[in-house]
Amino acid sequence: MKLGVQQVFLKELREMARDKRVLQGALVMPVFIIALFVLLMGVISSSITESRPVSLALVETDNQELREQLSAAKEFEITWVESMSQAEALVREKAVNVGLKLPPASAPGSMEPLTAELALRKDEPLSAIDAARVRAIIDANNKVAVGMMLESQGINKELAEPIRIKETDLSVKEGLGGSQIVDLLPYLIVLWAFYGGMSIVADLVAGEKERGTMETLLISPVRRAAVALGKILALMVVCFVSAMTTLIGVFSLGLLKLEITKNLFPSGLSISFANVVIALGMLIALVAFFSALMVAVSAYARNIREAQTYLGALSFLVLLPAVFSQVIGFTGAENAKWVAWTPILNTAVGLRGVIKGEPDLMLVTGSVVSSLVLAFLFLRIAMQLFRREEIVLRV
Amino acid sequence: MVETENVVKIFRDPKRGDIRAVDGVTFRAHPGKIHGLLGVNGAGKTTLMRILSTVIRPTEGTAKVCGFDVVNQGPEVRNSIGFLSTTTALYGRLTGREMLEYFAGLYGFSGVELKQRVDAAIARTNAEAFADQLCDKLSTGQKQRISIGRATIHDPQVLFFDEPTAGLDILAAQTIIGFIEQMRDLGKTVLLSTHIMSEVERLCEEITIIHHGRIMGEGTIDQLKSQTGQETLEKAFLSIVAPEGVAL
Repeated sequence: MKLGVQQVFLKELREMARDKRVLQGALVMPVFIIALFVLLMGVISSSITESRPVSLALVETDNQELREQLSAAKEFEITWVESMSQAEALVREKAVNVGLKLPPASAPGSMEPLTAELALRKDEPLSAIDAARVRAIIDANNKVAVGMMLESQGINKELAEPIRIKETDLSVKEGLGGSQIVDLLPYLIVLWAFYGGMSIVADLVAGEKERGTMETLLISPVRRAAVALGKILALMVVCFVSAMTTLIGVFSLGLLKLEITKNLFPSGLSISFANVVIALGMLIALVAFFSALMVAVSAYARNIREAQTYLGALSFLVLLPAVFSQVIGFTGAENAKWVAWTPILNTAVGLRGVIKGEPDLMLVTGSVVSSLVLAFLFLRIAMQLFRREEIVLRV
Repeated sequence: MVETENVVKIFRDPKRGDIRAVDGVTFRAHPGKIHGLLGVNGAGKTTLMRILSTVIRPTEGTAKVCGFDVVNQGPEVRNSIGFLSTTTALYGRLTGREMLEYFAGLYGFSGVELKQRVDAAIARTNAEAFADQLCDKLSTGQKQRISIGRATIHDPQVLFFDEPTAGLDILAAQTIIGFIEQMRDLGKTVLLSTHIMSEVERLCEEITIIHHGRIMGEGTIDQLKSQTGQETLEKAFLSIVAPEGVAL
């Protein structure tokens, strides 16, 4: 059996290496997609963090001094309008991000609070960001005004802010842990571990049945279990390479030190050797599970088309936990026991911790054990399917 | 030697119920002779071939190839046989040589012996000119030569040919027929499944006629003619499988 496994494994690898679909699906596409993601995130990150004036429609004010101050301020790009309704119209049309009507200058000694009107579109990210900036400026001015008022009454102006917040950022800032891409990376690794293999697996078994090479193979002395195992091992290589290509793509872009992606890798790309070993262990277990599952599905299908239909539906089962891993931080369930034992989700969440330099033992154990158990289960199913003549020969 | 004893194969179909594709078949094929399995499409010839090559298991009965039981000694049976049909395809992204190397490896050869086997197969089938081209790029005739090399890489004692010339042009078909004769002359047991009368008349010393999974007649060509009182094998065959005539 050992001999048969090796022969089948090497032959499948050789065929895959010559298959354009494998090269495109498992190697080119992951690099292309990750490059696109990183560049896109770089553009978004730059547009948010870089200084950009608040796009503001400001209603004319009788306070000439304030008008001149605002006109001179570089942080505002002001469009002067006659009324608040005009400002709102401009916001609605997305000509400006926010509309603002400042209150008239108050009479000296007046104790009445004043109201400024702010118009924004909460469904537009830039409108929401600019509105927050306007609020922050008004809040700062309020503090100054209150401070001056207190000071005029002989009270310590610091009391304008009775409780101050001293903030300490404890997030990991070293190496990849400090990178904004780190949350996305495990998701992409998990997806490509599956989709890389999906590009070829229909051809691997269902295709052999369709073309008639399966019968040729079954007439040789190789045992069917060895055929199944050889094919699963070969697919594992493709899945693993595809997932690793994502990682290599990110590292390559980081090393290029492009201006557009500088905010994504503020602390470089370092990751400890121990964490690399842990990540690889998790990944190998995951691709073993994916490969055995996909080969079993392909073995069950009558032909390539049927296999692709099944695999397409199956891909959603992979997609859902992978997508959930992206938002699990908002649910507070990241450390729940069930997460550690939910296949795919545990790997995605666990990989994020490992890449950040904070491996969670329960997640890592859960990921490796659950993936290996499922890999063994689907290996058994694949072997059983290869032994069933009505499955192996039906087309 | 190939021998079957009351072999039955039932396929269970959820819609059509049980289908007896092979129904109590008993026959013997001898070394140095070509034994023809003659029958119309769907008669059960391919199913019987698949049972004998261990691809599927018989529902009832026993079958032996070179003395090895097809159910309990599958690897030994497969080591003793070569199988060729128009449906046993090649791997398109391997070259002819790589295809032969792959199967030589599966038959347990390695190193120098593997190389010698492959070179000998290429020489035997006159495939030197195209052995290093991808199988996808080969003509039908060239593919058939590589298939012959694949089927004989391990020098089997028994050869199964299932409709080996179906769909081939006359030149490619002649290559196959010549190869079958060559194998017989080497003392191999040859089992040929076909519905082409001219091939049977040219090649087969012994014939088993199968219809609806059952043996309807057996013997030499002359014996079948005399049993049915017909002048030609074709007429003898038709009188056996369609005694009431063929509806137009």
